[in-house]
Amino acid sequence: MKLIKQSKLFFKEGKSDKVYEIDLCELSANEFLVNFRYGRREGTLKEGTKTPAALPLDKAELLFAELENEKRKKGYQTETEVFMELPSLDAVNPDTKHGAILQRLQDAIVGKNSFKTEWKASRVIWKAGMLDLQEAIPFIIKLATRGDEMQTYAALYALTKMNATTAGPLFTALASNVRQKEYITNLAFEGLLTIAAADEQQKISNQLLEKLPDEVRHAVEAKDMELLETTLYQHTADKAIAYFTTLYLLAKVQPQLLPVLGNVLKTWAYKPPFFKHIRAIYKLAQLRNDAATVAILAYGFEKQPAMFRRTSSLDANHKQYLAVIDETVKVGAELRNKESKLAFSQYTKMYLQKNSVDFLESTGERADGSAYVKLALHILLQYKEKDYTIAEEKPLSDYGSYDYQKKLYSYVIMDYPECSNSLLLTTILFGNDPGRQLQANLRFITGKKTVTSSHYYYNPANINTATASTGNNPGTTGDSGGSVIDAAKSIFKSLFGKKEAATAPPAPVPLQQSEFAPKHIEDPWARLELYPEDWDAKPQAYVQLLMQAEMNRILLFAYLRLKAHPLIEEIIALFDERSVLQLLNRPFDLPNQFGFEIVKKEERQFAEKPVFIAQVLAANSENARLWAQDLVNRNAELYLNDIDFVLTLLFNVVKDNKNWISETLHKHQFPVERIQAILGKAIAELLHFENTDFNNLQAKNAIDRLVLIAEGQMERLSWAMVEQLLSSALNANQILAVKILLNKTRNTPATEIPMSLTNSLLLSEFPEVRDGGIDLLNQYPDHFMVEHIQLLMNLTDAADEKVLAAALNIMRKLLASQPRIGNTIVPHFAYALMRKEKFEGAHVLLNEFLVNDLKPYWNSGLQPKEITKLIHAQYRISHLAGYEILKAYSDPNRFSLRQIISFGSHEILAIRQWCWNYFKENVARIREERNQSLTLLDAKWDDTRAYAFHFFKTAFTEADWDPDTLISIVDSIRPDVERFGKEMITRFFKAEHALDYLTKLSEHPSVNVQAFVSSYLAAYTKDQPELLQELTFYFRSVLTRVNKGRVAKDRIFDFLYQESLKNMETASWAVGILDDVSAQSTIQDKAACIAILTKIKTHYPELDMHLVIKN
Amino acid sequence: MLFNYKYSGNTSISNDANETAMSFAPDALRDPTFFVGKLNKKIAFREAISALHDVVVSDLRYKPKDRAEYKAWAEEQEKLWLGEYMAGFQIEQVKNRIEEIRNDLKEIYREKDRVLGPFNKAKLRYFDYLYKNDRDAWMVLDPVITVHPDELFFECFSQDESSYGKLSCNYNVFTEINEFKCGTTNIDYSAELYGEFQKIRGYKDTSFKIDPSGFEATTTNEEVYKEVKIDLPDSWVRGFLQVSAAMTLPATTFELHPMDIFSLCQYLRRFKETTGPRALRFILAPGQPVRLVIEPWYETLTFHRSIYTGAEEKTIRIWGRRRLMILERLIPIAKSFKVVLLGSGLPSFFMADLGDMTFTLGLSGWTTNDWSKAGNFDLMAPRGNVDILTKQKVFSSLKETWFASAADIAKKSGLSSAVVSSALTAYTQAGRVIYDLKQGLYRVRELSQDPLDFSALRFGSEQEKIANEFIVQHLVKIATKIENDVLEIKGKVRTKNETFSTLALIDKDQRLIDGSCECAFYQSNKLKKGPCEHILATRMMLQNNTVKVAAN
Repeated sequence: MKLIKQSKLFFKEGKSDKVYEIDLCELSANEFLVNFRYGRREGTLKEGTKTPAALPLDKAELLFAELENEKRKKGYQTETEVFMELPSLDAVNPDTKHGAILQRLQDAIVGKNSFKTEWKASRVIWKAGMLDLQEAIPFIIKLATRGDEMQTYAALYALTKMNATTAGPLFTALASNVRQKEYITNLAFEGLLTIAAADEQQKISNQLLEKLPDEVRHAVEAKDMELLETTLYQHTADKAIAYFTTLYLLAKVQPQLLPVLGNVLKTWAYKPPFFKHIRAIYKLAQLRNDAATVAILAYGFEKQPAMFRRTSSLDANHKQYLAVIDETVKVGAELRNKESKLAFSQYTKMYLQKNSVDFLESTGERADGSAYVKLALHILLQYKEKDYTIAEEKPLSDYGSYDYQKKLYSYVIMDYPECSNSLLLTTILFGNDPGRQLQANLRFITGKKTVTSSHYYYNPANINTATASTGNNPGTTGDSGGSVIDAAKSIFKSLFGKKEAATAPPAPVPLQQSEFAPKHIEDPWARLELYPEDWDAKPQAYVQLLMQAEMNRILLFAYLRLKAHPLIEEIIALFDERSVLQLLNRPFDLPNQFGFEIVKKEERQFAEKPVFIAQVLAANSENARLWAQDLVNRNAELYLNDIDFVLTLLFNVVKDNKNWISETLHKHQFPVERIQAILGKAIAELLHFENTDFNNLQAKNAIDRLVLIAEGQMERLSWAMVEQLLSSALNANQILAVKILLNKTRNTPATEIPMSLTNSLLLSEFPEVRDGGIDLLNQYPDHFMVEHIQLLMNLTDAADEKVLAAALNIMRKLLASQPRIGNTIVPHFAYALMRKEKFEGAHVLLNEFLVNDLKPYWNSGLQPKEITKLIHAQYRISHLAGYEILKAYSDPNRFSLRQIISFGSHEILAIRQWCWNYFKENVARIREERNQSLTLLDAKWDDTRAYAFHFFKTAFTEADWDPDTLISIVDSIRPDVERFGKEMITRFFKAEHALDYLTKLSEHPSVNVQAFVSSYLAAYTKDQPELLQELTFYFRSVLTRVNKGRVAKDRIFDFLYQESLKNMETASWAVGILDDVSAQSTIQDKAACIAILTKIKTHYPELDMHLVIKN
Repeated sequence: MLFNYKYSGNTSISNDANETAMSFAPDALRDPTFFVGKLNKKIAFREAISALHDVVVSDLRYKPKDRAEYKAWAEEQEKLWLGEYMAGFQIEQVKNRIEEIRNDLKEIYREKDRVLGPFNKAKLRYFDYLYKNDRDAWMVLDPVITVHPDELFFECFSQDESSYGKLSCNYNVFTEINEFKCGTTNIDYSAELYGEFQKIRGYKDTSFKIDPSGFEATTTNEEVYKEVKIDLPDSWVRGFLQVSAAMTLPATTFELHPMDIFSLCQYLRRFKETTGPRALRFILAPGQPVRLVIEPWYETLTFHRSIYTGAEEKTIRIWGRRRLMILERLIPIAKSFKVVLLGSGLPSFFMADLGDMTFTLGLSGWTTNDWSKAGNFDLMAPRGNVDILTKQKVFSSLKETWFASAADIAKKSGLSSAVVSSALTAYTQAGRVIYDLKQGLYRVRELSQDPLDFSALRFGSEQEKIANEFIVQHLVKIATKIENDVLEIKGKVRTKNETFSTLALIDKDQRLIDGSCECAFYQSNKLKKGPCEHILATRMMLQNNTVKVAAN
């Protein structure tokens, strides 16, 4: 038995001094036991077990945790906790704030109350934590597991916050307890990580790593942040993010995880199953002072819509329909559910918004101003331009309320300042503005008034008078000079009604801004932001805002404050080229302007750096670009002689610069070796580009400009270079390759360019490249083309009209000089017409060529098989082309009869008529191959069949017919053909063929033919018992026709009756059929069978049959 | 459900006075499967394959008359009649005026006909042309051919999603078998082929091949391959699988003399019922001739030469009897018919013994599978739980020999025969294995190249799926009573938030003829979009026990 885990708990109170030990032991693989011992400390312990039978590990661990929790609830604790000395409170004055807290903690342990008001233990613990009351630590450790979960939670939070190293055992116990709620274990881990030394942290983080899914763990261990991010996004999409808080805990020791986590958090919806983790991470982040994460989530609380509106109290018993989950639920019960489908109601949203403002403000109150600025900065960076709202006047409701006495409608008009619905932003930027008042809906106003109108719908034009202005409502703020924070305080107080008034912190001292700032008109120099001195202490925060913020209002704030900062000169001096460029490239005007200001200030110094100037030319700031252009214009030599400058310029994609760059490059005379260097470097660069849209655009610009300056040099480039360009990843490189190729052909013969290369150009997706390919194609001499005729023919499949037209033109030209290729080409065109066209109109072009230019080669180049295929292809245009060829075909006898007959079933009348004509004119051949030619009778078209009937009736004489051919006509399944066949048989009937007809037609499945056969039966088969055997199927088939063939049936019964009496052999054969057929329920036929069978039985009593004749 | 096929060329049958050559084009997207041989039993094969064709084109669904034209005419006429009637009250002058206008109108109509006549005629001809040329579009799924070491079989399913046909031929049907490769494939099939089959004659040399050349690489420039994409309704595939799955259920079997089928068909051809019930009632008593009662006349046919050999007395009703007329062509060549009945209203099978060939006609419970029959029997319910690994083991074991009995596989794989049977049933339901009723074997037959998405086919509709969950969770309670030949089921269905009272009325043909429910779906649609899940659950509860009996 192996000990896996042990927990030793102690209890000491008064005389009682007990110990309780719990063991988790492994009996064998997957068999575990939970044993315990208890008794007086240092005495003999009694043993017991919780597991009468061994359990699997997970169950045993649950049992272990349950037992431990149970004992802890009763006051048992680990050794250190129990024997930790509580500090004496004698020296503490219970009237001070700290003293009162300590006294209350003492009371909670002893279980009495020495104050007038009653506080829950959890509240006292929390408060102690907030006040960072180090003396309280022993008390809190004692109390941690003695109350409800809230108490444990508060204790862990407070201990972690106070960095209580003595609480290690408590953290360890709670972190490894599988029975505890997740939010408690999470916090316990956080505590452990906070107090642990470096080597221990490693152990703990290993523990945490084990909780992660394999792929996430792998990514974290391999430090592959990209993989981690994609995995996390995938899990977000699958809603499989149960491990997320663990990952955040891990981020404490692996800070590189934080940016990834932050990115993923930004994409989350504030709904289950995410919200649980959002809340947990938010709390942990506050505990850690992790400004970035707090900012992301606080911004989310403000901007994400509440998931649902709760309309009843949490313990209400009635149900509410919620559209968001399409269910009717008891909201309170659902929220308490572990797998709750609901989260983030409007109350939660409001609470968390308030909490984030509180947190922000309390951070600022603490001595360290930089922490506040860091948090505020991170929050401001979350805002986007779309969050900006303008200052405006709007009525609360568009419909007025009617006043019966005045007979007028009245409206309440609210004055909203800018960004009125951004709580955090307003708090940070305008926190000191007494004019802004916070409404209960967490929107700011600067005033409100009531107006009247005679119209029930609000329209500013119809307003009568501004009756009353209730600028500062004393009801909401109490103190008209109070700041936003005060307003917020009172709002929240009324919202949540908690009794926290006593602990409210003193309001920040409002600056004397009122003399600078009359209400409503904002003076940009007024310090409306909260804690301006903290901001000014960290001017780099302004710079960061300018670099990263994405809202103009925030940028304006940063810009003005920075400009007004006393240290502005030193700060500007710190800017290097890279950071200036960063400013210039921002998509906002203010940073651009600021960047340009810096540049102007050090103009001379910056102007000496050509590469920098080239980069400025690609920057977003137009002023800067114009300045740079001006510089270049004035001193072109300096810049254009710098290769890196030219290279950067080549890849410039700013549209406004396009003409200027072309002109500048054109004007300048580059020496040859420099051009070559530029060309080489540019191509090297191009070869390294990945294939993206932006890179393609860049490359296209660069190629245009390269052609401008280096066209003459291009032909010197090697074939290898061209090949590399063609096979490189970037598509636009093909354009350059074509330009080079075309240049090369000016001096070298085109035949040196491999045809396959041209071919690949012609298949390119770029029109420019294809055009180049066509140019190349046109440069090949005729004899060369003839050698590569196959490749040329393949171009008939081109998907581009121009390419096809070019190919056709070349072929036309070739045909004039080299007529012998015609025969090679013709079949190819026939097949091309059978294939689906690659672009609309391709068939028309191909058809024109085939019909007009290739006409002389139809007879020599096309086989009948190909013509037939063309005629039966899927497209009408091919039918018509086929017909043209057929008409002009000199030797129709080369067609097989089968092919000719297939034309008789064609949809186009002319083709059918061609077939008829052929029959008419080639009677001899038709006669010769009559077996084959008769299939014309089976043609699909009525007119062809009618012609065939006529033809065979008139053109064939008696000598041409034999039984086989006649029967094969009757075999047709078309009733008219069958009729025609029967007619012909009767017309040319010869008695010596009668048996042939009879036996062969007897196999025919049609009722009519069977009846036809029955008429010959009596005459030609009597007295031939050996023949009858062959006809068994016929007899059976006719007699078992359901409700059909009456005449035939009667004839057969009659025949059987006659024949079976003639000899025993026939009788025995007939009995085989009749005995079976008699088993039916049709009285007429049954009677006929019985009658015949009776006769046979009397004649040949020894024959075996079902019929029994009695007496 | 989308099916993709790629045929190299078309199936062709060429006929002349001396020989017939059948060449079926197989699906080139599937594993190569081919067969080359000559036919031996030509006439019998012709009759059997024609019967199979009858299954493919069979569509006995009720098609209401198109009365749109009549209605338009009547509307026009009504105005005239009204005018005439009103004219009766008016003076002579008005009558004259009416006459005048009518003549004018006639003239205009005539002129209109003259102008539009050619156009209308051409339009009609065009539609005729489309009808003829596009007849293949009427085909549903091309038949499936399976080549096995001992036999070759064709399978098909009818357009109305109710009849299944299988023609299996052992190798005595062929002579000179040149080459073959086992497997399953679809063949290109068109309506014209039927005509060509009719030309098969005993005295003509007849070759039969499932063309292997399509699997060879071709390099010609034309479009050799014909690609076909067929969007089959899920209900169709489901029906096919349901009938296949039904074969694996235990059943009542007996033999009928060919002339018994003749008598039955003859009766059905002579009389056409106008009202229900429309069932056939087989009355089976041990040692007695099989008797057949034809409703609604209650006419009894006694088949004296067919004695029921089973152990207990039974009466089984089946519906959709007109589908049996497919068997007519087989009467002269059949030695006997074996009838396999699963129970009243459940699928039935008629197997014609043609010597070396067997023709199996499988009929689903009813001809139409509309909502009134929905939720009747759950043939797709899993029978026994077998884990995937074991299932695969069983399947690969079967694949080695292409066919085997459950007992053989059990012996070979060392699994219990119950497990093997459940695994094979699951594969049957998924369309990958077929049960050979005649020999009691399971055969590998993959209905499609990629395994079908079974979960999508498990239930006929979303409602049925939910209803099934209600049943599984025991949320349905029912009470029944019979009044005026109508079975009335009152039910209570407890859902998550509410309990619905439901009512379902079942007629003598076991159709759901009416129902009601308190849910929103029923309130807004009544039964126009079919019954809601609660009515279905009520109905399924009634059948729940029946299926349990059938499945075990």
